Amino acid sequence: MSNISQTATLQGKPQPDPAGPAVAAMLEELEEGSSLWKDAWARLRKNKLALTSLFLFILIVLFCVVGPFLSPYDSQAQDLFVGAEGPSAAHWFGTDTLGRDLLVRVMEGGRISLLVGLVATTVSLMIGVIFGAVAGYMGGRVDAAMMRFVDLLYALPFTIFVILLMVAFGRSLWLMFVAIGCVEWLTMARIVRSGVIGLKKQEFVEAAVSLGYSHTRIILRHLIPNVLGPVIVISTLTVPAVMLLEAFLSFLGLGVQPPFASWGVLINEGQQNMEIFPWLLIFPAFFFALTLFCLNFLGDGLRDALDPKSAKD
Amino acid sequence: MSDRRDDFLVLENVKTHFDLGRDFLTRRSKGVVKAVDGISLTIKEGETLGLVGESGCGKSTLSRTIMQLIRPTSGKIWLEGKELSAISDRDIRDVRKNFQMIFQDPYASLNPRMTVLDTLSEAIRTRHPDSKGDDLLQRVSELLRTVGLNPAQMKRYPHEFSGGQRQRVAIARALAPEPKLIIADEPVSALDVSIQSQILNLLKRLKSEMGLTMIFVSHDLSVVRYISDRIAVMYLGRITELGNAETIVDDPLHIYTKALTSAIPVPDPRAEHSRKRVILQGDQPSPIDPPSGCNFWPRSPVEHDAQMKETVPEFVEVATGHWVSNCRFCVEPTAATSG
Amino acid sequence: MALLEVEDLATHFHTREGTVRAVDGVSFSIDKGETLGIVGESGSGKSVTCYSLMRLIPEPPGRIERGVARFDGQDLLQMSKSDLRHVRGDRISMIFQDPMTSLNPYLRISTQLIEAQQTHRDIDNKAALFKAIEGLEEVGIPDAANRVKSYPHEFSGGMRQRVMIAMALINEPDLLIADEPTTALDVTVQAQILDIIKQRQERLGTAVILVTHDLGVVAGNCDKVNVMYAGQIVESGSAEQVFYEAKHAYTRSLQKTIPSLQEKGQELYTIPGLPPDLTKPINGCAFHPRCPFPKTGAAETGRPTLKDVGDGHCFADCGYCDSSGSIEDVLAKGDTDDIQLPGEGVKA
Repeated sequence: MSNISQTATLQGKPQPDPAGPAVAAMLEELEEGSSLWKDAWARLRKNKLALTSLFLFILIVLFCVVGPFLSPYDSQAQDLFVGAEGPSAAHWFGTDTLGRDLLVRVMEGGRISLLVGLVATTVSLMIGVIFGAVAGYMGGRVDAAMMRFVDLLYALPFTIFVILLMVAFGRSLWLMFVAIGCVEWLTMARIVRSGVIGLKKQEFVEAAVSLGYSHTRIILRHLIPNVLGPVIVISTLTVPAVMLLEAFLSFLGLGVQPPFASWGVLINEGQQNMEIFPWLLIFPAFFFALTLFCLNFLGDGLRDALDPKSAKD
Repeated sequence: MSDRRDDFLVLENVKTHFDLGRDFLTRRSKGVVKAVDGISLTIKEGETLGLVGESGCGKSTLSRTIMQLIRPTSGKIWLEGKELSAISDRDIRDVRKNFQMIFQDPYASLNPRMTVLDTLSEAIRTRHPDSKGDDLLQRVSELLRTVGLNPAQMKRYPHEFSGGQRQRVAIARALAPEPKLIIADEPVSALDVSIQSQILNLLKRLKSEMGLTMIFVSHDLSVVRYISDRIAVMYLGRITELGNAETIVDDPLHIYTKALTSAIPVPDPRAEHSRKRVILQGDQPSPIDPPSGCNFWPRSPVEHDAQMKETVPEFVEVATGHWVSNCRFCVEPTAATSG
Repeated sequence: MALLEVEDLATHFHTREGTVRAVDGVSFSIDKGETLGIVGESGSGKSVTCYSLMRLIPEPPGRIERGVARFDGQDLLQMSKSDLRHVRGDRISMIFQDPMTSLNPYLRISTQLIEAQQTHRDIDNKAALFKAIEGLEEVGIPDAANRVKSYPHEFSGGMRQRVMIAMALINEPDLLIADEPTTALDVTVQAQILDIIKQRQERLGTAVILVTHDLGVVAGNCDKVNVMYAGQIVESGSAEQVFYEAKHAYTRSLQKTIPSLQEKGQELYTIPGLPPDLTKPINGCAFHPRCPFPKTGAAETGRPTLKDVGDGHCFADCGYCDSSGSIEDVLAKGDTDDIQLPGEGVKA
């Protein structure tokens, strides 16, 4: 490292490199920095509740994704001779009124619920972050126009909006993803916008402007990474919110249609028969509630871990 | 005036006003903040100009106007014969690398999510877009050495450095595009005294080694005196006095400059107890609808009459290179000759 | 007898990163009518010392570990909360750094000034208001009788700090603690504010503890000076002793870093390195790693204590520092703006 030419001037091109290998050697000597993300992860690891939640959530995902392959039953195979039976050695979670194995149905229902949660959240994340960042960064009239559009969508009753979409494009699972995503991004956009407006006054953004960086570069490299903390927290809280919405839509008959089922559908079926066959309600509701708890605790833990105030300056 | 445009940096009657808009219901104007209100200046290549004034005097707005971060409301700015104030918003990006800024708060002026390497490489590429690999690394490590940091730390993040070290990184970033003009906006006021001196020494060294032209903005006259060749004193958006650093500090003409110099606490008990202070009245008025005439009248400790509120004083050269806002109440005629 | 006598005060903060020994064994005293300056850089413990005296340390994470602060015969640190309330705002009051946030924005100035009196005195509204107006006039607020009904936001920063001073002095306290009272203000306003504090002090015979990072402010306003570094006092004495006959290497280095005292062409002295990490135990002199005149020798266990070198001038002599050396020689030796060593950065 010492043989890098110390006399090389700053202006103009550095002198022909007599120390080519030295640069490579220096690269190996570089001390790895610890990014704020790494620090946040270190803090999260100390939070037992959040970590347990993360672990449980991964287990639930595995249970839903891998589970059906290991089960001897088909979720749609009816066995009307059996009918609704309580938990047994053959059917651990019992069977529903049509004699379908509840365990498999809970697992497959979970796939759909989780998929809705994740896809809709991702959709809302992409639209919300970009929309909010652009509005906040541009400011002035552009911002006002963009945010009035958001207000307009906010004012639109959600159910009517979804019914309209369903009537116009027909029912499909993907359409529901889009519909939910289209509503959830509004909150995200508002949060990102206010974050960006706060950041815009920071001197590092002024520095980026004075270095002549393009708008896209400033938004993507300097603004968005710095609002990702709250965005991640909101996302973990959006996933359960979306799953609840899906349950609500399915309850109205606008969501997942038989023979497919989501947790929302299963809970709905279960509560119709809960006095006679309580397990039909208990098992799906348990998994649904557990997932919501996990995501909420994880969101809380992430908020603590990413909170810039607790981050060491 | 046209020949002045050949100088390195020329400001001609620059005004930066902010319209506060109209009241929603009454439609009455909420007023205009005259942050910079008619400033003309010439800066020679390689010179350091100190810009002092109290908070709210417009010194930060003026530096951001020169940087074209805020476009002036009226007036013209030339840098090396090119009129910056006439370049469109779209094209201004390409010339920005020629003038750079060092900011006050080293905790806010670096992107916390980027390593020093990323921050500096990005800035270097504005001048050398094709630089990459070993060439880029070498440039980064050279920059870090120049500002007195260890290149082995280039992969670290800003929060892993102390305030003084961060300010060094910020200086390196300002130097990266190889600018000709550097504006340092209160670069040491957020730092502890022992760190302050490190940064001042560094800036002074860089200036002499690289022949940079610098505008050093500060509220601290003792710091400005130490680093500048000339000093401009600002009050409410205008320059009240301009001259050699020593002249301004040791033999000021304008009563405001006198108040400013006499208010600096000197770390010397005997001198402190024996010195006479010019104590001003109250605080600086708001730059919304600033006082008429000689804008200093509401705070003037000397006797004055209505004329002071009416006549806008001329900015005149009383001695070679020594300019003052020539209000007959603020500038004692005797002092003008004896100074 | 001294008005306030502090002995071996220690305040630590118990954080996730470890125990920060912000103040670690501080002793000093102040007499009636005297002005004591406490200078130091950020993190030296000067503010924490004052907050500890007022028992305003957030607990947790902070805790006053040990020490005695005898104020007029009573120990402030052991006093019950209700007794403390009688002392705070009445016999000891405090001015804070930021005039923008230290007044309640929702209450009129008059309400706040009257409340301050009625908490401690049996005084009716009218008399209290009269005294409030008088107080505001004395700190130089023009048209006080009308402006007393204003809200804080209607005043500028300098005017607000005057209101703060009026409020702090309205009960004519024996001791005023001013924590960086002028740092947020412009120099011309700073001169006014310091002037007012001095005038009021002379009239009321109040003792003042002036906390600041600005050696200039100390020089002009203080009778006695404590220089703090890394949670301890490293030098104390009269202003003249500390400024003209400084003994401790830190005090001497600090004076050489200030641009206003140096010739223009001359390079400023820079103190190398960074202040020590207060979560780790310090052996020997805390300033030793940055000392311009180090002598070789083993570090002591524990930190050096203040020793009197005559006429009340004390400094923490570690014995491993060549006190006859001069900063000019160090400066002459060359580049003090060296490349910093790896690992010096603050590790998160």
